[in-house]
Amino acid sequence: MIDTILARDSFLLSTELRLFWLVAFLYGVSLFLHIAYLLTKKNSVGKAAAGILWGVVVVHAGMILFRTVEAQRAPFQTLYESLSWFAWSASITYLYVGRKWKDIYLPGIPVTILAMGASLYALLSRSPAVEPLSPPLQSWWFEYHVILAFLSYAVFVVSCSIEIVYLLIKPCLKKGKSSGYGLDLNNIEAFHRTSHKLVLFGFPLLTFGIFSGAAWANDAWGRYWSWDPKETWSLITWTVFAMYLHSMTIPKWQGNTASVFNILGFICMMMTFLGVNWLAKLLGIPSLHVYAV
Amino acid sequence: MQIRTTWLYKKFSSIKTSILFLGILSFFYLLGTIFPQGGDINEYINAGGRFIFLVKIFGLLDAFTTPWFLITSLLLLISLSICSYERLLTLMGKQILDTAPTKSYIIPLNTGENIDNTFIKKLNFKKSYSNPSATVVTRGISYKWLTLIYHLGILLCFTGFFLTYMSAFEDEVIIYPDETKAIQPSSQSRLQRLLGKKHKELPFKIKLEEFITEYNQMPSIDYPKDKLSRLAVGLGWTSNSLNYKIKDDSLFPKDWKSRLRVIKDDALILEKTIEVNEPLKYGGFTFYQAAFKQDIKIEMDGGPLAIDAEVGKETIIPGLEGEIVFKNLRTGTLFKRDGTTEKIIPFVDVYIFKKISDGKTDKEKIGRLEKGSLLTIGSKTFGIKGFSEATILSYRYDPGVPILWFGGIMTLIAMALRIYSPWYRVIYRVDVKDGRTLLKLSINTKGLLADKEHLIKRIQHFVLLSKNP
Ligand code: HEM
Repeated sequence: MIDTILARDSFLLSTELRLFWLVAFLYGVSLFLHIAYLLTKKNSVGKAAAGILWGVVVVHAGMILFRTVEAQRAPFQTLYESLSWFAWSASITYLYVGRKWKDIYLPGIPVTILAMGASLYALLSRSPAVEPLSPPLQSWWFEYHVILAFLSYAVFVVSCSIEIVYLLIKPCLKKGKSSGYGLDLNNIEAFHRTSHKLVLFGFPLLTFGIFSGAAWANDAWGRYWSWDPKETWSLITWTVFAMYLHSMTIPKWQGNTASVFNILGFICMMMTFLGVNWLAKLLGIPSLHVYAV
Repeated sequence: MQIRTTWLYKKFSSIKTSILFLGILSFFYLLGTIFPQGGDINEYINAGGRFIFLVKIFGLLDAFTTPWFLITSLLLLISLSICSYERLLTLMGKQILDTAPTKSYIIPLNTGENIDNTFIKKLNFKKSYSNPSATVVTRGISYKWLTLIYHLGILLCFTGFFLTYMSAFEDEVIIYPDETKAIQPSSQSRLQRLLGKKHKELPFKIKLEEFITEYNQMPSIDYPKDKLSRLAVGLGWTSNSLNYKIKDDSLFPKDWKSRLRVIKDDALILEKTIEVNEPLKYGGFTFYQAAFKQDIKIEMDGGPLAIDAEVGKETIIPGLEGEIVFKNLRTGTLFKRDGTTEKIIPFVDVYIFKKISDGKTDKEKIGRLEKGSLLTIGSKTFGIKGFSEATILSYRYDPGVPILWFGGIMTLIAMALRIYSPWYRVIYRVDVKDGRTLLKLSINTKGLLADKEHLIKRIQHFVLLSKNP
């Protein structure tokens, strides 16, 4: 009996892992085509890059569902799983947001770099084994906390990608040159407004993410806030995005100042997600609060 | 209101100032992630910490209690309060826009149509006011009120943090099964320290009826560590390492539970089984399942004397070189992968710690000692004579929590409504020009779900429809 179960679990795991490698490979193909588009400015290449990304998002969705059945619980509770979820949610958000754009493909470059990077990081650095959750993780807060926080991460990724493209293309257009990437003086501001809308959309989600994290910590550890680096970074991210939203209400700051805050917010978000201890290590300063994910 | 015209007041009500304070706070937060918070300076130096001078001067190991941090937070709070007050004054005052409708949308109009009716009855708008130059109608929850409410919510959260900072305290209590324990907090809140007060014993006692441990059986895989082998596994060149196996150490904690009773004046007040994530709340205090403590009685060579040891701690046993550590006492219920459960025969893993040179210790696992059987170490045999498990509860008094929850929920709801829900304001006027009636209007929207194009279509639809009744 138990041997049959273990054999089934092993089979499911190896199928899932193969699917995930395929997904990572396809993100790579999409990235390659996006870069080819950057170099050739051919719309057909951009279309192919986006087409492949649509395809991989569908396969990846299937894989995440597969993992849900395999693990018999929500599939974003270990770092391996949440990296996969991050890659997928950022890609699908990008495709959804860009569905009405005509021949604009450049934001796909940062998005596919992150999607492929996150998938490879999960595959190469984390174990895929399905493991039971430790007692502190068995909370209904956990699922909401993670799912909404990650949704906000996904929109911040796309917002930052748009912001970067805007900052790079706008000077060309100002000089009277054509960008050749589907962006011109008529549509670039509307394109840029999307990044503000995305942060607006993500901000309440991040707020909920932090709040639910505090509620959960209050139940599990008996303290809603411990100034743990992960918590603190999430607060930095939140504060920087609040600064961005405030700057967007000052007409003079809507240009470069706000854009800098938006990109800074994204960097802080990545620090919260992955880089918490990296900075301390970089500066050679020991951190007592190593957060084991 | 003299003060409202001063330079300082104006600065504090400026959104740029709020950005500045938020920026300074972020910088403090950043310091708090770089320097180990709550750490001891000597520990920090021993661990190779740098910038010792700065750390000492600015108190960077306790960045969030330094005056710099507290003053900046206070300044932000003042700014937030002033901004909210100003916004309230604006909202309470009569809001008359002197903007006439722009020429953005000009729609041919049937003279007989009552435009007010169209907006109010058919399009569900509310009239704000009307004057000879224009009529103003709105639909949706006023975004300005929502903005005010969530900024006030943030203010409430800060109040909650402050209350926590001043009056929260926490402590721990260890209770054995069937023991009724009086609770005497030994730590003080900041406020108590300030007032020089000490805690009295709490007016109730806690009894532990039963302590329960549960474990999951955790099959594991031998996943390779190096990246190339992982790639090989992923490509299907080798798949053995993805086979789940049940190993010797496959017990994984599922839950720890304490069946507790609250007793006051010898009467039972409350009974609750708590677990991680499911605390007990009573009398302003919250009791959490923090951990547990295990003690074991070991018999040696079948003799009548028993050795008492705390699980996880070094124990010296006469006649044996080094120190013995009994680790991971497992007892309770095992939930197996096949869905069945079984009672665990209690066991511990036995390790020997030997000091080698340079103050280092060598750790070696000797074996597993199960209740009912014996384990030989050197020339001696050991058996488990008995064991006990006590629950470790941490408890906390924190009057800031309810205020924080209230403020947080208020912030979340108002912010979500402000950002997502649609709000429209239409300013319109009917003009007659060259014998034609025109509707001039300008539309303002807020909220991500607002759809201006759709509203224009609806206005056109009603206005044009009324042309041919
Ligand atoms: C912890 C502190 C604060 C946070 C987290 C915060 C957050 C926010 C957010 C998320 C927005 C939404 C932006 C938008 O709707 O486009 C906003 C808007 C705004 N905030 Fe703050 N805020 C804070 C403090 C302040 C302070 C101190 C002021 C006082 C100057 C202020 C004034 C404003 C104003 C005027 C707006 C624009 C309102 C609107 O467009 O509806 N905020 N704030």
